[in-house]
Amino acid sequence: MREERDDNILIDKFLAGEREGFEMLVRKYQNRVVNIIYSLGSQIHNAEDIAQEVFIKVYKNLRFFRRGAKFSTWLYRITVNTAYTFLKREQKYVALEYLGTKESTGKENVALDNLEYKERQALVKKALSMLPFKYRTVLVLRDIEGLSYRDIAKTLGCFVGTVESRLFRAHSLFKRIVFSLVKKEDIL
Amino acid sequence: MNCRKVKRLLGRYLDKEIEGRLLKLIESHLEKCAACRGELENLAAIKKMFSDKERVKVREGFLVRLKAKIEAGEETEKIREKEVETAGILARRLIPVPLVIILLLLISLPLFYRRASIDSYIWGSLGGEEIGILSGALKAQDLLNELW
Repeated sequence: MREERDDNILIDKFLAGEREGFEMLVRKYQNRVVNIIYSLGSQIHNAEDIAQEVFIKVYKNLRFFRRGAKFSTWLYRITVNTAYTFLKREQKYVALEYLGTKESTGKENVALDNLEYKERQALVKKALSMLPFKYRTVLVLRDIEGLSYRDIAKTLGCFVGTVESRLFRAHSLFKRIVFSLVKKEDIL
Repeated sequence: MNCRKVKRLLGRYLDKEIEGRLLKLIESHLEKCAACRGELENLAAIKKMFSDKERVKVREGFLVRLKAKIEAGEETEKIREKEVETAGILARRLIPVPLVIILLLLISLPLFYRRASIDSYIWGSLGGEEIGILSGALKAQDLLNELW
């Protein structure tokens, strides 16, 4: 609530003609925005360009921002949409052979625990990039950015129930992809 | 509560977004069901992978570069606005020319039409004999013109 009020003060400042308000908003959210874009599948060098595009859109449209709404939710919506526009050209789909069996052997968690930090990071990035965009988005917003179900619903313009079912589907797909990748790498 | 329902709610259970009676139902099911407990462990492992995920940060000077881009964009917009304005002035000056031409055409077309219809009315109303006399007279006048 306090965060929301602070954002509104900064927006008022900007709309009153003080650019400092906008700059403070950028400083506050820049890392979160770039991290979302990177997690959604962008390359690290492109993530910053896309983030700049996001903030340019914010700068141009801030006067249309509806009061009463949460600024962060509005910003994340722009972020997800802009990232989608950039990433859809290189959209990857889940290859069926990666999905493997639905059954767990019970050894997967042990195998995951044994992975080195860097290997695990690469695995998460690869598995995420193989998920369809709508599942990737809910995973990133919930499990990486820690947004509440209600905020995710507002960001994506859907119902909380939709977020819940997408997350369920996203987790099970992600799990199957990760375990298949682990098996393919002969870690098990 | 059956396994299917519990599995759907495990994500929210781990995120601590469930409370009250539903929470108790899930917990009592998990105590009894090994398969759902396994599912919960898998999900927790995945969530841990995400929470451990490296967070990228913007490079130094992000805001400076952004401000430069915004200013460049504003410059381009100003130039475009100026171009539109100049085009507007030109258009305002040039619009009367085609407008006058169209008006003249609109006025003169009925005149041409009326004249053509008068001629056809005169020639159309005369009988064969009268036409003969009239054309004879015209021929005579042409001959006189030539002699003069």
